[in-house]
Amino acid sequence: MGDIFQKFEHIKKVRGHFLEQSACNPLGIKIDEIYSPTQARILGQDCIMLGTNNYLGLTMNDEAIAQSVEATQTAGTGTTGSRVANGSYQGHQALERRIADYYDRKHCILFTTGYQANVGFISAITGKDDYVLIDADSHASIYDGCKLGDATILRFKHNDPENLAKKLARLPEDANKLVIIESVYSMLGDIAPLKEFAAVSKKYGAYIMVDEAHSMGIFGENGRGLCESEGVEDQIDFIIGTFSKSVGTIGGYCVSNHDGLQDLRYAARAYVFTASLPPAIVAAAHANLDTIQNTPSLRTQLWNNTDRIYDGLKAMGFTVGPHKTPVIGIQMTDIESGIRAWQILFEHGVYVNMALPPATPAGVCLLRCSVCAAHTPEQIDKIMDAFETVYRTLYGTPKSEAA
Amino acid sequence: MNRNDILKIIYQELEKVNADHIPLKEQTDMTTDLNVDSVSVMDLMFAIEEEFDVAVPLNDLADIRTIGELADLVEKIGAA
Repeated sequence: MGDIFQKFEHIKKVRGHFLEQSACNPLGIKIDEIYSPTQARILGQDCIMLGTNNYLGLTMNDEAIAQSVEATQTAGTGTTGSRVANGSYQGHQALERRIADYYDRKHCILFTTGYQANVGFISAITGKDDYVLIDADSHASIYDGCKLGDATILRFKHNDPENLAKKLARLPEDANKLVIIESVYSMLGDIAPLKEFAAVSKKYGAYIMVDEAHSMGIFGENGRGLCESEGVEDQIDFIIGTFSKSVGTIGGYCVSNHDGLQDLRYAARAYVFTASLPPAIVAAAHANLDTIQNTPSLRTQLWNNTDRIYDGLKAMGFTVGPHKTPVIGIQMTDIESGIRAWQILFEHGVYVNMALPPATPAGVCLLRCSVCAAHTPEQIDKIMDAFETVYRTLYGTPKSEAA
Repeated sequence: MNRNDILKIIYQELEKVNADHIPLKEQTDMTTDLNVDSVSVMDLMFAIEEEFDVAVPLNDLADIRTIGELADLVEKIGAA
């Protein structure tokens, strides 16, 4: 018998490298206690959470918690069944209607996670003679959806509508084509040129799907995302969203005006062959969706905080992503300096995500920060002080001071 | 499109990510011999596609392991 685990040797090597350098492994931290959307105790250390995707701080929204508790008391802790069997409760149907109305679309289909929304939708909607064109920096769930489907998959250069046009131009005119992009990319927080992508897709008769995981709740008057703020919603065929970022719980969905979306309830394996969301989650998502739509001040607060952190880091001299969004990816020169920076931040009570290739674009090591509307001015002072110490330790005098 | 030209571009692009300076040959298995990840292999396709004006589907890349196999694939797609 061979060693079936041999294939993980290279992962172990990287992990060993981390453990050697760090008292605690940045990729395997354990949270002892969570105090609030922005505070936790990690390995006995109180930390400000700056790596959570909890953009609006709604994970502890009183109304959502109350609704969630009530739903559990009345409908139980789980559905123990698929939406096509015994798992389609009134709550699921009401939430689908609520999301469809929110986006002003005819149809919404819920999935149990955002990952499953992409995998389920993409693998089911594309068939053998179809073509899927994906951005090079797409999330793993998009790649996995492609891998599970039967279509021909083409990859175009990141955020490059011209490269997409070149690929579309080669394809048979009458073939079904689906273009897949994200509005805000999860690692560098960079923004897609939606108008250009929508125009190219239209020119070549392709359907277009936008994943708004990291923009829903953040952009647009109603918080629907970048498609809303860019005014391109009517040109986008499918929008994929998640509850595990701004909505502060877990789950995923797809909205569309195409009636065919309903067929996915029988064709998407990630929808059919999994249990539906528990009543508590459905209730929490519903309550937080109301809060997102009705509380634009949360977005104002989030953007104010983003201004302070993004502008501050940039002024100090850190290399941040090209666009200012609540996802701030700080590019480190190498893994060693990345680990050192991560440790200093942790010692100063600031937790950020550490991201490594191949999960990052262009093979860079990233300190990934995500800003929260609930970060207080005092917490941001502390965050900026910690980053200043990092800069001084690794690079010397911050540029903001030298100027 | 000449097979040697294809190999030249593949070597040139792989050299950029071949941090361990492993000698590159047609038999080199990109997934096990080289310490490069799957994204790096996909990224090198952009240079090939531009140079030879082809579009290589990801589906075809899934079965490719060696540099020689990759050259065969690009040659086949270019000739089609």
